[in-house]
Amino acid sequence: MKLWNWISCSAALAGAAWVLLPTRGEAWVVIGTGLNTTQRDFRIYNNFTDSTANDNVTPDPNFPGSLGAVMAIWKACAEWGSRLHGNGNGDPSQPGDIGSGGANFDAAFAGEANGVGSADDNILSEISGSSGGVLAYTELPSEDGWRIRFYSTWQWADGPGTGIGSGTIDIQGVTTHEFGHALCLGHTSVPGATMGATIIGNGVAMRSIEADDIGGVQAIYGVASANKPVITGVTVNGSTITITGAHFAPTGNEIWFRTSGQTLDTILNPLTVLAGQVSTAGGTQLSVGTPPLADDGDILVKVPGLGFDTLSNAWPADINAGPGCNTPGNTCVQSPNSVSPFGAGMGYTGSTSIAQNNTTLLCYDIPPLKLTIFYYGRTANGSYPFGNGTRCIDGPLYRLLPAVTSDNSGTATRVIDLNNMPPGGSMIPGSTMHASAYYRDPAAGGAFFNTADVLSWIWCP
Amino acid sequence: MKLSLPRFLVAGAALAASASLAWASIQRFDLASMLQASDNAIVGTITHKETIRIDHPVDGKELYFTSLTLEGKSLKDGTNVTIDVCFGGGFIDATHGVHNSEAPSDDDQKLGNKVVAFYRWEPNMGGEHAGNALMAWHGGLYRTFETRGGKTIVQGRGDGYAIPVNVELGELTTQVKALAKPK
Repeated sequence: MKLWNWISCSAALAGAAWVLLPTRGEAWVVIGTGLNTTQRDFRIYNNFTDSTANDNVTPDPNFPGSLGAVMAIWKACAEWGSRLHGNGNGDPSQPGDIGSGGANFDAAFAGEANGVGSADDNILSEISGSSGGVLAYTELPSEDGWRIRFYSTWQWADGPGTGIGSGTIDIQGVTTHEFGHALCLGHTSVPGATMGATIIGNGVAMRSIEADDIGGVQAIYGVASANKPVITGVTVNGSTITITGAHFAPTGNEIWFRTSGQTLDTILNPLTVLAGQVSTAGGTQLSVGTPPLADDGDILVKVPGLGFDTLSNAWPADINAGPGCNTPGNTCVQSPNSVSPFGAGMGYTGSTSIAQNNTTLLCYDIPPLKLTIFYYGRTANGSYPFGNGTRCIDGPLYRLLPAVTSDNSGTATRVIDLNNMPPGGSMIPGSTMHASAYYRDPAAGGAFFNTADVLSWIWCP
Repeated sequence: MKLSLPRFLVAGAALAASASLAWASIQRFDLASMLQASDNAIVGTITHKETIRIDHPVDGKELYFTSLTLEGKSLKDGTNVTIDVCFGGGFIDATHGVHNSEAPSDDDQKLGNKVVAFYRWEPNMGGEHAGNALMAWHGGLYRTFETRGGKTIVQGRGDGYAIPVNVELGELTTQVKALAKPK
């Protein structure tokens, strides 16, 4: 981030302070010039450690393919959207009313990241520790990107109901507030506004933005333009997606999708984009084939131009047949090795869809240029000494051969080819997979090898 | 700094505005709960300021923390105190740093400011950075000014803060001592 950006933010703050003094009805504060359409993506690195942060396992048709903290954060960001997100349902605290901003602002759910990213990568995640009564914070200025962190000392809850449990703090409500910072709003003196004051109760009341918050987002981005592209429906027929709406450009439309799996936290654009699309029916329809890397999520349409009003609202789309694919999660322990006191971790790219067959396993924080073998099993309830570490995957074990060699940065990768699995190790929709890797580590001594933690998921169709 | 009455009123108005600017996702405190949660409350002068960057294998890259060195006295017992208090965000130079939504404003962090501060030891403020955390970051730092009559006024920040309204330093000290007294 550049200091002059911060200085200009400070100047805006100072100016806004004086604007506040004579006005009582509108107290919103602007702390930046707004996110242009290249900064509308948001992702989640789902490292929340509380079980209550990811215990919502009920799918929601308005937020397809997500559960737990991911769904809660998606709802929060969708609340700032220009119009109702789908039919607006999904939050018992504001039935039929998610999507209340009414401005030339919409955010694009870009799925999950594989790390916390830098301060400009537009990722929300938990951070360890505590700091004297701070719940969460946003790193600014946001015009060139932002980052939101939640302190792990608090017990975070994913809802979705309004009774989130004694002593817990609502992820969705706090995210709604923090995302207001990311889109360049400061704090308001209006009681009850999401951008106001200290946390309201456990945060549930902050899920719904109020008139003052709406005034703020409209002040930055303008009231939703009459020419802004609008999506009013999405239908999926096999591998064809048809988007209906209005104000699509005759040519040169971009269609934005969530990318499946975890995307690299440092990737420049985490969205899957179909560029150069031609509309039909007088700019009211777009039909495209489903991109291989796209997954359940929001669809947005970007028409040519640079203005805030060149991006449509976000519309939820369940583009994969059958139930949504769940997100792999990490379990077991990371055993310290010769290059990391925290040990090696497992990650992935691609999806957990059998049909897409595009999963790649990653094992990172291992010694460079060392032999690595990925392996998996169907259960992982154990805790077995294994090399210099601990193996949690129960037998029988299946090895993904041939072995690979880690790269210079200490990361090994292995493509899973579902059509060529080890004998007895085939996977079908509904199968559980627990994957890990073991690697040579001569510098550590001991057994001279070690193993990573475990990545677990259920394959979807 | 000595202020005339009109300037005092303007300062109060600016204070009310700045309070609304500074609020964010922090815990709600009053003076009693703040003292209960803090290790100490001091009045002192900011004599040094430094920002560091931490790149942590788990908590992530680009974690910035700023520490302010305060030299002053404990409001609880009057003992001399020199201490570093820390909060998230800050800039190492013109191109390396972040502003943190919960950090004190640049004006509040200026060297030479006489401030009241609440802090407590935190073993990990993220990235395994240990230090005396400024309580609620911006919510734990209060500027002072002197009236024409020579009184030191501590600037309140509004509802939800440990010091919600302007208060004379002597009166605040009395309140702190009373609240800190073992029951």
